[in-house]
Amino acid sequence: MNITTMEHGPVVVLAIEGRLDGQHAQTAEQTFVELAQAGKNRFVLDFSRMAYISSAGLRVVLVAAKKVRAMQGRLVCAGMSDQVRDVFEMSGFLSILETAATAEEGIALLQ
Amino acid sequence: MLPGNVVVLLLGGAALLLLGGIVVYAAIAHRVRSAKVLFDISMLLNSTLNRREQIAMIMDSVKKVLPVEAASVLLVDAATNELFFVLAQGEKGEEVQEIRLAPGEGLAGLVAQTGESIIVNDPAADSRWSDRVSVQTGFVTRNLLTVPIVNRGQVEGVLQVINKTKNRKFTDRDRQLLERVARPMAVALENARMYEQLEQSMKALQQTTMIKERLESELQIAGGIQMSFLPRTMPSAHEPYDVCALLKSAKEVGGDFYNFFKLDEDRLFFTVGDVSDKGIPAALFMAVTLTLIKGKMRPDLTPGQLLTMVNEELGRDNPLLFATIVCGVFHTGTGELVLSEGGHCTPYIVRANGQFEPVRLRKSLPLAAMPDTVYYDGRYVLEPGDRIVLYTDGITEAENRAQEQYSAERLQQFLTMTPGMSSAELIDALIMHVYMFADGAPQSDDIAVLSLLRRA
Repeated sequence: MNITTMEHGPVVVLAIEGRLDGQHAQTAEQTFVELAQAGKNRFVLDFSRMAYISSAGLRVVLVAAKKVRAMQGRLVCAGMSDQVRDVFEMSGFLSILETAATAEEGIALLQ
Repeated sequence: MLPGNVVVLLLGGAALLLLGGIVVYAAIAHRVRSAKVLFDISMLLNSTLNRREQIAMIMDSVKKVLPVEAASVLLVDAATNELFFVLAQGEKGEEVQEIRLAPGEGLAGLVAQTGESIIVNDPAADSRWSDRVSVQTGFVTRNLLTVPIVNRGQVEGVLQVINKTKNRKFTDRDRQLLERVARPMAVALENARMYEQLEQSMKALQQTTMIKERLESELQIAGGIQMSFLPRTMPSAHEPYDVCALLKSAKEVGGDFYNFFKLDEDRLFFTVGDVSDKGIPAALFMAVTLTLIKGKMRPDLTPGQLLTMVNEELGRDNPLLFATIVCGVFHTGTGELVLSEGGHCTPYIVRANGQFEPVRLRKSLPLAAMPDTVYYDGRYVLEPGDRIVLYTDGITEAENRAQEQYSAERLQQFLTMTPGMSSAELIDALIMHVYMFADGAPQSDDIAVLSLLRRA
């Protein structure tokens, strides 16, 4: 799994490539926590190249969403494939997350 | 009779010869003794791998041929380039051991840096000699011979002898002898170091093995404790329903769970859940969740109300985990089902004729995901012969070697084949179906399945 971070002004885009499962969840969480500690509070999670997300991966997204809420920031999940969308829907998370079709749309939402 | 002067000549000649012979003999004897010393050293070195013992033995042998008042072996500290004493023989030995020389300090430091031996027979007049050690210990230094200990082109230390006895000076021959002694010393040091490293590795390995074994036994115990949370007895055959459940953890302890118990004469409570993550943290969270459920559920509570209350308790300490869950109450007389869910995969009702229906409940968040989450109730009815099946995503997401998933579709196909099976039979068959699909790929996630059949 690969995570690339890009900043567009005050918005940080985290692009996740590969499988976000138990093995890699720790790394993803770490990356996010470091950015949050650096004071960033507007995030776009770009899932367009994410092949699969497990419940451990969902946990990372939930932790991120909670943190962002605590910092009075915003989080957008972008580029979800049908399969990934199903997982989010099944977990009930869709109701508490902002979504966008693409990362660009997500960035626009947060301006 | 020989003339007097011839006798004198002869005597003188004989005396000269004798003297010469004695000198030659002495030289040869010295050579022989030196060689013997070196031989003895190599024999001694084989008798122990302890570094200090080896060095002490070497020095004792050296002193037989090169009697001196004090001798030291210093080694270079690879990290700081300081020299530290590894052996200090002589009356001030103990005090000297505490001293560390800065890089390049004194004769020892100089020899360590240049790799060249140095003889100093008049230290006071020699600017290279540092009197620090001498002053600190009160030892009077008359002369010193210092040689480097070299191993594979690197100076690893310094061998220094001080104050040749009987007030004699150090000679070049002494230097050669000491240099020759330094060679096996370097090898001895290397061997001893390798042996020490090996000993340390062995100790570390032993420790790790011990820890691993202890962890394994603790995990087994934890697994046993966890299983004891689950109901062990299935209700008897004369009940109007047949409920059965199975839990199969991916590791010794897992995060999936199920439970069922009667609330009163007519009502059976049942639940299946999945804690995010696996292993011990998930198992602990699972234990707390089940305990809260069992503690709070009452006949007058709906499943939605129960989950709302449990979520509030669980979320209070802001845990790092969450648990998806489905739970329900089955009225054994009427067949009514009231269900509530939080982030869990869709249960299925399988009708007596084999038709399956996804139970689309109003979705809520998993337990402990967010505080103040509200949970909703959905109502269904099981006719005689109908059943409801709850499971965790360890079933639908089970993968084969091609990383394909078992999927909801295969599960649905399977369910159509289950009319007539008891709950236990259904569960057995489902597990088998999943195993055959996985075709040897290892179980990556916990699995839990529960089947509740209203008897026909």
